[in-house]
Amino acid sequence: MRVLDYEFMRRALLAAVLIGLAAPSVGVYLVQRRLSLIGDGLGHVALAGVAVGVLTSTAPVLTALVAAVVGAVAIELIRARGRTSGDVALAILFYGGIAAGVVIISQAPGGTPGNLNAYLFGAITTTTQSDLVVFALLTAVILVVTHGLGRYLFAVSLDEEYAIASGLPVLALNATLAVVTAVTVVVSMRVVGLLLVSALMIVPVATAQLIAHSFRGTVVIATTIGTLAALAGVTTSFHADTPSGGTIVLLTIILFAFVSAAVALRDRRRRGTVSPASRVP
Amino acid sequence: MIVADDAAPVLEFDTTDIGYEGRAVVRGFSARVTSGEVVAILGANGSGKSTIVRGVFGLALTYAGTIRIFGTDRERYKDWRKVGYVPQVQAIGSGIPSTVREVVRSGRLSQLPPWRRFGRADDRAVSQAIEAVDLTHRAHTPVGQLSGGQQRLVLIARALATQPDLLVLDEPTAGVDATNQEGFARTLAGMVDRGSTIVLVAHELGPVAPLVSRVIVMRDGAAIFDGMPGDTPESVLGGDRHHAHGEVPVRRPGPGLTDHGVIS
Repeated sequence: MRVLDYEFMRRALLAAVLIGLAAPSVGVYLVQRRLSLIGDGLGHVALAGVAVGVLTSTAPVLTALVAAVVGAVAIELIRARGRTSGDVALAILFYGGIAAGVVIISQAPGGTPGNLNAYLFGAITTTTQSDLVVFALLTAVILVVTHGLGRYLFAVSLDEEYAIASGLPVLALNATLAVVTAVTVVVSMRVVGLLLVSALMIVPVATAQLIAHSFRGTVVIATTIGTLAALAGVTTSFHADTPSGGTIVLLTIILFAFVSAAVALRDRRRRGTVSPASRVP
Repeated sequence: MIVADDAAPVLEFDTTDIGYEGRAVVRGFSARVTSGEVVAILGANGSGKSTIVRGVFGLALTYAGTIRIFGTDRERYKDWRKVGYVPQVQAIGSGIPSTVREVVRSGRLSQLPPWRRFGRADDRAVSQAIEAVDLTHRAHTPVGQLSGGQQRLVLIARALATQPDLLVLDEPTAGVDATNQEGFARTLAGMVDRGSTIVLVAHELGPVAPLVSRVIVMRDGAAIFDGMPGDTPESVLGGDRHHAHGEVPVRRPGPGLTDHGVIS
């Protein structure tokens, strides 16, 4: 296959597999907790971290990771204290992060907001070997946490009050999920871009829950969709000369629309096969 | 007020103020629930009956007094596997599909160390809990596809999965149809036979009424009656009987008591 002839494409496809596995593994708990947009908020905070990295000539992946993790813990503490509602805390993250990113990058030598484009929209083909090693390690952390603590994260996301009543360490579990979300955002940053990060965490899960019958089934289907969409998106972007991030996300949305329509059609047919006499009033 | 000193205390409230955001909803509440009792906490909406049980689990804050669970102060109590809780939620089936078995199994987590996987004993306890609420045939059905009443039964099964010594239920039959209420009463009767202690917050006892050994009636954040179901004086019933949300049902022997424990 021609796409595999290029070293940068082999790295891009590997990065795509990593993020395709990791993002829905985290997203499934975010969707259940109705926190689908937290990835977006943390993406904006990570942008401030990227700007700090550019300004101080430090690896932007690491500074973005620190910023996103601090933001994630902060938002969980704000939520837990109950002084500010979750959506207000998210809004503060959204705007504070992007404002800080733009201001900080402007202070870097020759810095303009345009320097952030690769992080905002993704530039998977610029992924280096060392990037790939960092992404692989972070993905391993994400998968170990989401699968190792999966039964606890499921209990908390299903019914937080019951989890508290059961004596589970709910604040610690929520903070862990927030930190893992932050890590996922940073891993996804180079693949789909900070503005599109949430899509890869949420859309495969939204598609999977249309056809799955169990939580475990949703996780398996969502990670499969995420991985295949990421691989197909990178390959398509290579042939069509389109941005990889946008292509991956568009593919997941097209699949979501297709599955939604198929499920609606199936349900309509099932209703049609139920005879009036057998209908329960 | 009934205080059975010879039986082991399971749940004790000592002049407790319980509430939310700095405001006490329940004031000066004292009660002692002993092993094997089936206590119904009754009252109109806003009387503070749910706040009392939420205080047991730290979902409402204790501003004064103490709550003790199996003789240990609530703040220091750790052995939550001995306490089952059925919260006052109408449905849990929204969001990502979860099967009955997945939801009930999450009830086992309080007694499972993080390093241990679910084992055969856990699987057996989960199956028994599902069987106790007559949902074995729906074990692999997504909870969202069940009726509201069946979803409440799933929550009860989740609480039973810990095989608790104390079961606390907050309005367990609200919105549940008559058939499922009968099934719930059978489940509870089985627990009573096994010697479990039950605290039940309710607006209406329904088929559970014959199981109740003691009634606490709440009004405006205070207990106005605590005693045997048959001893409930008419004066206690007065203001609440015709509350906008329905009669306060108190079991009463003799003429006037319906089969479902509602004063007729």
